[in-house]
Amino acid sequence: MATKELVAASSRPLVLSILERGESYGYAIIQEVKALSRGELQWTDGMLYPVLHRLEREGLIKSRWGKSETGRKRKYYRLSRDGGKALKAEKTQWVNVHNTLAQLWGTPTCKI
Amino acid sequence: MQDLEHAIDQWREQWAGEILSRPDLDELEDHLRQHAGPLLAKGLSADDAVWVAARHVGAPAAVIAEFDSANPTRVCRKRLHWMVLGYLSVTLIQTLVTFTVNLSSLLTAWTGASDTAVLVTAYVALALGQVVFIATLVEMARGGRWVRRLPVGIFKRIDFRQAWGIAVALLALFTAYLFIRRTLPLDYAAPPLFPTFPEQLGAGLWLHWILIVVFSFTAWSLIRKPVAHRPPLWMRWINYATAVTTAASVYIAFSLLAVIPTIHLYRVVSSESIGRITQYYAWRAWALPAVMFLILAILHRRRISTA
Repeated sequence: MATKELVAASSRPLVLSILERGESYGYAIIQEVKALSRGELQWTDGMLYPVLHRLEREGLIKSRWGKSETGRKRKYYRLSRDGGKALKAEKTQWVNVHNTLAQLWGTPTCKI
Repeated sequence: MQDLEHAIDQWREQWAGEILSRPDLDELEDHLRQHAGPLLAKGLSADDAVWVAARHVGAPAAVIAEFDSANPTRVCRKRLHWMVLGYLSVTLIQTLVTFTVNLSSLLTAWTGASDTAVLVTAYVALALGQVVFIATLVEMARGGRWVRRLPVGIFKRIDFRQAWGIAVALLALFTAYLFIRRTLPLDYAAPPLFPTFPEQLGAGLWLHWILIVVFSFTAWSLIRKPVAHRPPLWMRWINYATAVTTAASVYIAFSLLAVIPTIHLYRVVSSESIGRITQYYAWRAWALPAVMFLILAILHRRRISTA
C-alpha cells in the first residue's frame, strides 16, 4: 500500500492520464485508479475533488455540468491543451524517477 | 427512496457550517450517491449505505482542510466571510438592544418619571441586552457555527455565497436608507468625544462610502489574488484593519438608525440623558467592534495555523 505522501504526489499525473483517455467524473476516476492499482493506491474519495479543482484553476483540465445516466446533474472533466503539455512533463519526470530506481535495483527500465 | 433522500439531507447538514459552495457540495453528493448505489442494491438500508458512502467521501473537516490547501485564497475568503457574518450578527443584536433601550426610556418618560428613573431604565435594558450580546460572542468564539444550531431550516440550507449576498444587500439597504434620511432632526448636543458625530452626517456618509469601497476592493483582491498557503503578514493585517474600520463605520450607520427613536424623544427626555446615551453610542461604535475583531482575529489565526 502506497504512503499518503506518495498517493498525494501521484494524484496529479494519475488524474491527467485518466482524463487523456477521455472525459470522466470524480467517482469514475477513483474507481479506475483503484482497479488499475489493484487497491494499492487508496484515496479518501473526498480528497480527489480539491485536486480536480486545482487542476482546473491551473487551466490543465476543463469541466462542464452534464447529466448522469439517472438524469441527475454531474460534473465532467476533460483534459485541456495545456493539460496535455503538463502530462508530457509529468511522464518524463516519473519515468526518470522509475529508471533511476530501476538501475539501482537491476529491474527493467522503460521509455516513454 | 424517501429514506435515501432523508439520509442524504442529513449528510448535507453536516456540511452546513463549512465554507463550501453549493456546486462543490452537489459534486460531493453525486459521489456519495454513486457510492451508495451498489450498497443499496446489495440490500443495505438507506441509512447504512449513506453512512458507509460518507465514510469514503471523508469527514467534512478533513475534506475542507484539503480544499484549503489546494486553494490558499480560501483561507482569506473564509476569514472575511466569518468577519462579515460575525459583524452583521453583532450589529443586528446591538441595534435591537439600542431599540429596547430607547423604547424602555420612552415608556418610562411617558409615565412622567424623573430623569434618573429614565436613565436607570435605560441602563437596565442595556445590561439585559449586553447579556444576550456576550452570549452571542461566546457562541461565535466556540466555532462560529452557532447558526447551525438555530431551529430554522433555512439557515441550514444557506450557501456561503448566499450569506454574502444577504450581507451585501443589508449594507446597501441601510446605506440607501441613511441617504434618504439625510436631513435627520439632529439638533441635540453632540458628545464631546466626536465633535463631528453626528451633526455632519453628510460628511460621515461619504466617509462611510469610501470605507465600503476600500473594504470591497480589499475583499476582492484577497479573493482574486493567489497567495502562499499561509497568507503574508501584511495581508493578514490588511484583513484585520479593514475589518475593524468597516466595522466601526458601518456600526455608526446602524447606531444612527437605532438612535432615531431617541431623537424623536428629544423633547420628552432631558438633553442630559440623551447626551449620556449618545456618548455611550459613540464609544461603543468604535470600542466594541474593535475588541470583537481582535478576538476573532486571534481565534482565526490560531485555528488556521493549527489546521
